[in-house]
Amino acid sequence: MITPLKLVKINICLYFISAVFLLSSCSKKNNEHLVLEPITLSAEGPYFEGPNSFQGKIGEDVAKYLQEKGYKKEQLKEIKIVKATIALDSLLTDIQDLTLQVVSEKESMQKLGFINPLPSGNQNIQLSIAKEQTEFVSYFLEGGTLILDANFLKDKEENVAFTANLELELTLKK
Amino acid sequence: MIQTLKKALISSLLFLFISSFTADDGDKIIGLWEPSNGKARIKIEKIGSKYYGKIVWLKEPLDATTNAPKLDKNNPDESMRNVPLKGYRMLKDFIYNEKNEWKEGTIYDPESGSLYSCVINMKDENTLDIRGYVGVKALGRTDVWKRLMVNKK
Repeated sequence: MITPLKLVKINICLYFISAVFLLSSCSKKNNEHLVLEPITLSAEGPYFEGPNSFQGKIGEDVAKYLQEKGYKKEQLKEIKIVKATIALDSLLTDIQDLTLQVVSEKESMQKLGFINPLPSGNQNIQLSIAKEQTEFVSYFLEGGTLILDANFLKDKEENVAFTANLELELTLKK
Repeated sequence: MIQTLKKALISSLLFLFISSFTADDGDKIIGLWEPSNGKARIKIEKIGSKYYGKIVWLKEPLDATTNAPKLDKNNPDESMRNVPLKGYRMLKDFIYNEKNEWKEGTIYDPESGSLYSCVINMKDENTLDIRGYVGVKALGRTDVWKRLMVNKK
């Protein structure tokens, strides 16, 4: 026999359980990986001994990805850099180190990764990624520029180009 | 009718001239600069519409203990402590405000690993007042940087 008091208790329990389910479904997040189209980083030569800056525009890969997957831009809560590699267009032996940064008109310049010293005999260089990452959403969603600082050991006359390959982790709110 | 057209043409040309002049006025900071301690040389350049300064020369490029090129060993982010100081962007994100002042930027002190808000004033074409501060401009320190002349070939 269920007394009215028990019924009230059961109702409260049911309300509590459904509220917990509702809250957990509201805050459910999804992490998805996205590899961006390669970004060419260039600068007009000649280059001088010391740091030289190469630039490249970030494409609309993230916006396109969201559209394809049926997400709204507002659902994108966070972007983390998972992997960053720099491809050299030839085997360059006279570069000491590389530092990759991102900047936009609205946001400040942030470091993404670096390599020091450059391993020899390798045209694809994987960068060390910053542990403390900032909020990258606007750089990749509203247009940003990658800046690669290449520290040359000697002057170089011929034009050089680099390619940045980035893998991102997108945190999306369902 | 012709006079009205002439006036419109002149005023639009004048507007174009003034706007192109002010847009590039901030570029006068671009170049090579030396802080008062003479320990480094900083190249200021423009990326997009903002100005940045990176270390291109160090008086003492090698670390006394490791005898290797100096690194950003005081960076609060441990994962970034192997970044070399030569090439480091210590001035970031400055916007020119048309009053000989570049503001809203930051300056990084590699000797302490601290980041400060910063405003730059150009006293004359070869002298900059660089003021780093925390919170309020009054609570800061100013350093005088001198322009270095580069021999152009």
